[in-house]
Amino acid sequence: MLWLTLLLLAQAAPAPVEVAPGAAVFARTCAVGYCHGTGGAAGRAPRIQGRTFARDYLRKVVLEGIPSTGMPAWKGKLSDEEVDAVVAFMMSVATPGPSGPAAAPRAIVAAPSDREMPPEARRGRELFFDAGRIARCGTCHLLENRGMAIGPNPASPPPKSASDLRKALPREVGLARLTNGEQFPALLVERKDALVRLYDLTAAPPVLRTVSGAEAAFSKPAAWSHGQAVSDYADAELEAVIAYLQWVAGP
Amino acid sequence: MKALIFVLAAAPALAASDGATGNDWPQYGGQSSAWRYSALDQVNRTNVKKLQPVWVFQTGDNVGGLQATPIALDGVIYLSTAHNWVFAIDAVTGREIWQYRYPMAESLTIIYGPGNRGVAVAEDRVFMGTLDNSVVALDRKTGRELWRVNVEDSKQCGCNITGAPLVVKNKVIVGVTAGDSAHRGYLTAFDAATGRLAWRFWTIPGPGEPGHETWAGDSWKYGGGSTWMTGSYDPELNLVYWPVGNPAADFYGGTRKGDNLYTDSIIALDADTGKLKWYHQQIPHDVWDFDSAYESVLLDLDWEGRPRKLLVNVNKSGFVFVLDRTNGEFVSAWSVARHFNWVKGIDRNGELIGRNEPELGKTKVLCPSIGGGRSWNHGAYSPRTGWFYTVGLEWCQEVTAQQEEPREGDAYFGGTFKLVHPEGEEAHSHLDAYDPVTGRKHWTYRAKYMLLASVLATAGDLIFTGDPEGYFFALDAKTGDKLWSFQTGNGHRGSAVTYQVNGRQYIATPTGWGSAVAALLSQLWPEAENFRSGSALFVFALPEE
Repeated sequence: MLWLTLLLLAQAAPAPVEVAPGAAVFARTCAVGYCHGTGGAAGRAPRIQGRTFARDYLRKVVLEGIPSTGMPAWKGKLSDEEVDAVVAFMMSVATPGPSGPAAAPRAIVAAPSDREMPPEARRGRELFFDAGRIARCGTCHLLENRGMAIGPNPASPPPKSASDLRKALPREVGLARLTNGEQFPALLVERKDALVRLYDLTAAPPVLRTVSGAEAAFSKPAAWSHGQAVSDYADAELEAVIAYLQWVAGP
Repeated sequence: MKALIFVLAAAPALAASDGATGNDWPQYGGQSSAWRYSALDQVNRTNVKKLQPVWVFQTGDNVGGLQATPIALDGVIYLSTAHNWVFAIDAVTGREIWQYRYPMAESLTIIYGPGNRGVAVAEDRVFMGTLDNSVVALDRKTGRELWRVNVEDSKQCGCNITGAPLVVKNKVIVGVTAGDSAHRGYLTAFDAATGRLAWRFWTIPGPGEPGHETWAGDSWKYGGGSTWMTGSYDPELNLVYWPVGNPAADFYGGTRKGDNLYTDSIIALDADTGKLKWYHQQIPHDVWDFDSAYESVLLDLDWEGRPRKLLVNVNKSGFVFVLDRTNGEFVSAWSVARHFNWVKGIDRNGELIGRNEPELGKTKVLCPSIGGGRSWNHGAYSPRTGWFYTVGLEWCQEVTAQQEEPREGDAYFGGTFKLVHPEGEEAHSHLDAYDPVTGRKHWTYRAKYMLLASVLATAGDLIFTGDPEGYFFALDAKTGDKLWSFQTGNGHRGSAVTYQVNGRQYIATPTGWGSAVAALLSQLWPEAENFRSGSALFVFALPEE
């Protein structure tokens, strides 16, 4: 019986975990700046050292982050191995809970989209989110959880040509006239409680205006074209953006 | 260790532009010259011991600290909290007039943690920058949102707005955080009436622009240069002075060889066009995270026999840089921190002497720490004494530089650090009275923990500030003697102001412990981890006769 007990104990005990690689990942990602401090000693973000965590909890937080706080999601930024390693490191500096540190369950980490991306689409993605332009596609459109959801999803369906892309015109775009004499091309968002909310599309970035219904008139047609909004992009650049939109739309 | 010793003292010129506030506290820094000084003197050295609380306003937004400067205007206080709630409060009774809560996406990752340092109020509007990098304009009477504009997607840029906007004429000027992220900084002006973009100044020059050559390779795209605090404005010169933060990665500069303009610089911009008039870089190629981000105090003083228009800026290193604000010419530099070894000093031309840089893979003790020889909490200038009152922090860190791959919008520090006590003494802080140009010290007040609240100076010859333990107190502006103190029940990380309504002077201070630097205190003092959070405005006055 003894040998069986020993065998069971051996199986239940955590496999020896290599902590050093996790320490390096921790130093590179979690300890930086104002975050968790060197070795998890605490900073702006909570202390890791000496606290009690469930391994699954740490793994979940590392992968998904904590919304409405400074904790980002590392899914897609760290590999499976790195996540395992950094969790193992944190468990090694934390205080073991009543049941002791559990063996690492080998959870499946969702990889970032690894669907093959043609170089032209990759260039299109860079142009879509080009930080050097105030009027970039992402200023008004959200894709892959980046950008602003002001305009419609541009990949549904993707435009066929640069000329199509320039002509795109959401139904909700019209001309706003205010009683104070202001007049501007606008994207209507909602009418609620005697208020009208609309985006002023005169220049990038669009401005969400809230005006009383009595002060605003909204009519068609719009003195606006998508061509104005994308005037910072050359034809060849728009073609690359379209390749990206087609890649997002998928086969 | 003092880098420069001047024999002369600067004399306040009688014709100095008046940076004093009166009945109102209309702007972030008091006036646009950022003196944080009030001409009110009903509360003074003789009667301050009778000061008592008249009302308390609890905001309920208790995480992140209450870091704001309240604006007091026409008997109403406008106060913003860590998660972008705004309150209009009756300045006499403490009654809420309206409140506005910015509709933050639940899924938002709050870069660097929540925090907001104040609103700007101009004519019929209240302006605020937000944690998701937007600017909102509210109706001053009702709090109803009038316009909202996203400056740049915070999910992509890893940036947001925590500083108070500066309104100049018909424009709202806002900075941005992300100096420690892979991001290219900027300053943006919006039309106050419509919210439309008026101008954009990139703090890192793009290809073809002068200064672009001070960045190796692609490093300019990820070089930081945030503008996270509030600038000053000189209406006579029509110049906006904005302080620019550190380059990224903070502790490792091997991939961004060059001076890295305009990081760690004061930039002077034409208020109407946003065009650069001059700049002065305090720290070329910074590898210590020593932003030039803090206030620029505009003083007209006689210096070396002639009247000068000066600008006094405390760098995060603790070195105070004094410039001629007409042209950016260096005048002097001196340190508010005694413990520094990142340089040996600063010479008469403003050049750093003996740089002591972090090293790759090697741990080094450097002083002051990343928290700064002073944090952002502002100093105050009193024209009555001619002295500048500000805090110095004595702490060091073990820093290890590492090379990191920049990923747009992600943290990009280039190293790790751990705070340590300075050699030979326990870490501590002090509030001091200085000659603003020479740095000659007139008195010092020592505190156990780091003083992280701004200073308020008044014509009653009083200096007000609060400490992490919850005490709000008044010092004698001439001697530094403590004359009064009150336990507010929560640590201080905001900026006190004073105003007057119906002939009665009020002193208002935010209380509410929190912020990135506040959180670092537990690395030196374990008990600081359990310092309580909160968020309230305490208002004091003398008893009514």
